[in-house]
Amino acid sequence: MKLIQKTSRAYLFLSGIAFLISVVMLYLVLTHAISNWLDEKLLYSKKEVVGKLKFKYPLTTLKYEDLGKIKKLNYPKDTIIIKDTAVYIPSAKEFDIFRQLTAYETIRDRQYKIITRNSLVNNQDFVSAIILYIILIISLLLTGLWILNTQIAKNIWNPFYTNLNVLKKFSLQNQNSVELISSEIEEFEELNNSILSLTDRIQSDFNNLKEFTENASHEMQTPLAIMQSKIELLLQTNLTENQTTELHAIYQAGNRLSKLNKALILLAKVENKQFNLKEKINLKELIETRLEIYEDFILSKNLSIHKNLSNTSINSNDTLIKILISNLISNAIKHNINNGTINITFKDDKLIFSNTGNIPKQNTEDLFNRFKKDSTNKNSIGLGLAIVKKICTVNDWKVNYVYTNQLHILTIFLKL
Amino acid sequence: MKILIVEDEIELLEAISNYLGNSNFICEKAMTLFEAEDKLISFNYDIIILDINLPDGNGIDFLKTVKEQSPETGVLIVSAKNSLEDKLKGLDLGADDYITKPFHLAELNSRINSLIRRKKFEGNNTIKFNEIEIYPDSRTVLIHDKQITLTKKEYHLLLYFITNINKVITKESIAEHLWGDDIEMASNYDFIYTHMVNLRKKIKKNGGTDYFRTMYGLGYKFTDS
Repeated sequence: MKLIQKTSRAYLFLSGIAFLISVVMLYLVLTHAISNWLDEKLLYSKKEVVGKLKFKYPLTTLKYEDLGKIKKLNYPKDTIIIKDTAVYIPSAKEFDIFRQLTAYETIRDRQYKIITRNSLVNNQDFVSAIILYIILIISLLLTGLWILNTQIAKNIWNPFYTNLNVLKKFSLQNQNSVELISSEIEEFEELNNSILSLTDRIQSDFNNLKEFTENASHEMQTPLAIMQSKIELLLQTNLTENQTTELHAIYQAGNRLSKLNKALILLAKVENKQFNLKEKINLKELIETRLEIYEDFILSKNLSIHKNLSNTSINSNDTLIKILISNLISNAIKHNINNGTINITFKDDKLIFSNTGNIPKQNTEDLFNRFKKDSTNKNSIGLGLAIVKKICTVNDWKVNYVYTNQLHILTIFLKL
Repeated sequence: MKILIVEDEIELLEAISNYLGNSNFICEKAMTLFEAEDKLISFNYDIIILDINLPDGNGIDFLKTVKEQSPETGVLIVSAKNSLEDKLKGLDLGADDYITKPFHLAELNSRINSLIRRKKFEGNNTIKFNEIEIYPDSRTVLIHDKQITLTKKEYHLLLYFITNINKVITKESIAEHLWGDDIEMASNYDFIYTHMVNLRKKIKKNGGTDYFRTMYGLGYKFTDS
């Protein structure tokens, strides 16, 4: 739930309750006030009647005889009773509610029952009209406020959401620093500033680390070159068998170090986008030449190769694609079984390498991470697929790996 | 053949000149750009091995000077592997070849020989070692003047050894030479063994002498002594 929804819901709920209570209260107060006023009016009418009775004014234009027989009843002592009562109105043929005052009073030694009443219908209409009117006004006010509130919130939150999208797209690979929209709201502005300083710090830390790796790799090249050439020179001299074996072990370690170094430098170079990606490459030809280089390895495992390659050209970097294809082929050979198969398909925008092989032992999720390798293969430096991934990333291609039906399937979604 | 090695790392400089000196090249050494320019004015060189990163300047500038003053000199760039590789390719600065650190001395020697063949003889020279004769331009090999058929890999192997006579060539260096250095798989050395066996068989079958010596598990040596 969004913050604005949460607050406005609470706000609406609370104002709804307050609104209901105030309407009920209003109703009660109004009816009470009207009753009081009516009662006073009824009392006044009664007094008038009593006055007329006292001074024998005629109460009606009718003749005395027409009034019918006056019954003599035993009335209770002088009391006044006021209550609501329904009275049948013949003309309207319905019961209407009346406020009725019944007074028993002794005037000139005679007991009278005086009833005065006043219709409540009008008053009720009056109260309902007021209440309805108030409901209307409050509803209008509430909706108006709500609309205003959401509109303001939208405007206020707009920079926030824009910035959020910017942050979602933030990548360390992309050297541009994040650009955030400034806001009038102090809290948001503060958040922006914190984010900016945070991303700047991350970026610079990342760059430092990257630079360090690069520099370290570059600085390692000359010492490695000296080491290797010195050993090679030493190997030319007359050594005992034992000495040669020991020296060879050092030499091999140095060699492995050089390979690792070269791979790391390549990764750094790809990361730094130091390759022109606009070269036109015939993938079909490239794959075929690369396969030739691996001929020995393919023959030794007696692998059969099935190719289905379209003649479409792609735009990328020749060196990088050579490395990519080499890594994919060597991967397909390395993780294959004897007498297995390798299928290479290049159709539309998909390049698919699939090969037979055993179930992957490790988690395939971090297959593309550096130095994640089958521990059984001592000679592999574990950077092959990391390089594949990096080359795909720099070309804006997606790469996907699955293992189904005893097949390792690696798919690259090219952008032609 | 006269070679000028421009390299600021004294140990590497010594190693290169030592190895090439043993391969019948006359090597001159320069550790700075200044020294190199000085030597270039006074002498003629067939090949210059040039490290790009020098303490007193960029080797690229020196490369331009070389190309102006003696265009027939072959230049082989030695570089730390950075963006330079692309620049060399893209800008076509006139370098004839380049090799990245770290490299095998045998590979360097093989590159220099191939460069000399290209520069001096337009590829039309022959490489002769006793009864074996190689014509690099047509990729043919003769033994006792009789042509033998070699596979591509066998041919490259033989050429590699013949340019590195009397030198111990390691399996690692052979693997890199045959399959390139971006191929991690080449660490499987059984293939080298297979190709070596086939090559030696073919030479012997055609009346040649087997000049290959196996060096304990380390590699091979091509020698007639």
